Amino acid sequence: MAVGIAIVAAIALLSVFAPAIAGDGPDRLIGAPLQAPSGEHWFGTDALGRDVFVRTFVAARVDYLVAIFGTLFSLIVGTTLGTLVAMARRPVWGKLLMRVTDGLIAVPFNLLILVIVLGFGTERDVLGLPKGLPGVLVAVIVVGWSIYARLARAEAMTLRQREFVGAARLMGFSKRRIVGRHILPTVILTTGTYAVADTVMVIGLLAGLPFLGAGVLPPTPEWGTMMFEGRGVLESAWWVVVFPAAALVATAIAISLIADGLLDRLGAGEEAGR
Amino acid sequence: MSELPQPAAPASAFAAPGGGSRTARVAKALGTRLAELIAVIVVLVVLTSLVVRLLPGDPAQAILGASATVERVTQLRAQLGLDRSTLEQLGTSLGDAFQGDLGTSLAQSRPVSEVLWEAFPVSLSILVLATVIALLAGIPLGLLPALRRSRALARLMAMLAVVFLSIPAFVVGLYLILFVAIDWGLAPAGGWGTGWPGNLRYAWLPALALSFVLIPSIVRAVQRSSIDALSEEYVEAARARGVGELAIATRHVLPNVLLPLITLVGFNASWLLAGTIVIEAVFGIPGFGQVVQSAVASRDYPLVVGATLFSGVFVILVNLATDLLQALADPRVRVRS
Repeated sequence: MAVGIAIVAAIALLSVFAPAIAGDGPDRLIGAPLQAPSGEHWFGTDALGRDVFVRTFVAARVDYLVAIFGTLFSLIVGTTLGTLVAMARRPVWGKLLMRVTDGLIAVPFNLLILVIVLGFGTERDVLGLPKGLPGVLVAVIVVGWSIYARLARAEAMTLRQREFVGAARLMGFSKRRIVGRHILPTVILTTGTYAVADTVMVIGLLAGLPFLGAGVLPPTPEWGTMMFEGRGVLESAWWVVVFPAAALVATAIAISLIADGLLDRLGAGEEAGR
Repeated sequence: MSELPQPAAPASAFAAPGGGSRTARVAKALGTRLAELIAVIVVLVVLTSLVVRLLPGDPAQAILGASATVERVTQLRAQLGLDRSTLEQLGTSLGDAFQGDLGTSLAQSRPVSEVLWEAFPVSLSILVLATVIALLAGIPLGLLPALRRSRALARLMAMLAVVFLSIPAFVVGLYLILFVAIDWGLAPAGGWGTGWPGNLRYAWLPALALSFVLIPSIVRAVQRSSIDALSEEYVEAARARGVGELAIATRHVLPNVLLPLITLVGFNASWLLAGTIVIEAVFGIPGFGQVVQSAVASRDYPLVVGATLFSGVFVILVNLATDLLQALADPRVRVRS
């Protein structure tokens, strides 16, 4: 788990300082195109003569941003909805929620995201974010909440049967207090742990979109866009694909290690508490 | 090693496996999946019409971009039903979708369903091939630690499973193109043949890449159920009779592994299909991936929506098949009926 945190922290730090280390911005054309890695350009240059080292790490800004905000909003919306529905007096709401999430979960997520991204349009300008990014963010949230809602509902339904909740109810505590103090904290532990693992899925999803014609638009560096651009020159210049891919894989492994560590710790805590 | 939650894996339709008669199980499965089928169609139709209606500006223009021709924009406006009221348009779209009418492709000027049915067999073949590869690789790998009775090996496999579960299949695909196709020249770096079995030359590498989505889960499921089975008394009895380790593995352990595997493969269909689509785009294979890729490039909204609906229905049918297969394969049900 410590290793995982170290890797993520290193990539995050480099995403800020890489341009300063190499002395060039991510969009500057600094030399001949498709130069192999060398002492001057550690990761080589891409088809437009931009420094792959700088672009690989600056790309982490966009990828981490989408991963963090995408999962965070999905987590909040999904957990709230799932818990509310589980505590609702009428079971109709729970059934409705399950049917809606059934529909969303059956469809491959990247297609669902494409539909929303296309419907949103790539030319809308929101808060000065890179072109293409707002649509993706909206799409990730519109789709992503569904799994959290199911997890939260299931967890809250079991918690509702536990003695301490019944005791709280007998003591005359308000529903709001029971949900806020007794149910939500435990539900968030479950959905939150899932969210950590889910950030990897979001990054993978985002990086796959350029191959389907969507995603963050160039010239903003993003691992997926970089790999997509590199796919065309893969036979002559492996470094354009390999470095962003390696950064993605390193992130993925690091986050899995963190998530796994969290889960172990959580499991141990629960067993000790019983 | 603990278990990370599976991405987007819907639960089995059966609350308690093995309970109830087979007819009851089949009836329950049919009911659940039918409800899901309706849910998919309703949710998607409502979602797609909401997305274009809730946003400010002319949705047809936003989808097609500033450079679109006037005819294209008018055509899309008509197909999105923007000239009618929201309720009226929703009703027609729902009716059409339930009858299998997915509209007309803007770029190809022919029915969306026709385009999709052409590409579907290609995607299905990659999907099936990847599943076969994943089973062939995953089952022996999962049985290995239990048979060698090595804790270190088990931990190593569990570790690898966690790592590979988090790497997107298309990234594995890019590395495979680089090494297997370009450096070693063992396969074409992409493209598609003119028919079977010639297509196999093009299909095996993308299928191998896709199988990496499934192998970690298979290894883990096999590992868990084989360790459980090995501690059973009948395995000990077989060992006492002098039955060899390999025979124990195939005859006494493997059957226990099958049922969880059916569930695993079936309920990961949505996840697998998502992987297939990107892999096909990476390898230039004329399946769903390329259809979607060119549809997005030409802003062919009806075709993208159609592909999404088609995939959702496909996934639920696979889930239904999984339910039925489970009912068939479960000996606890077989005995009773």
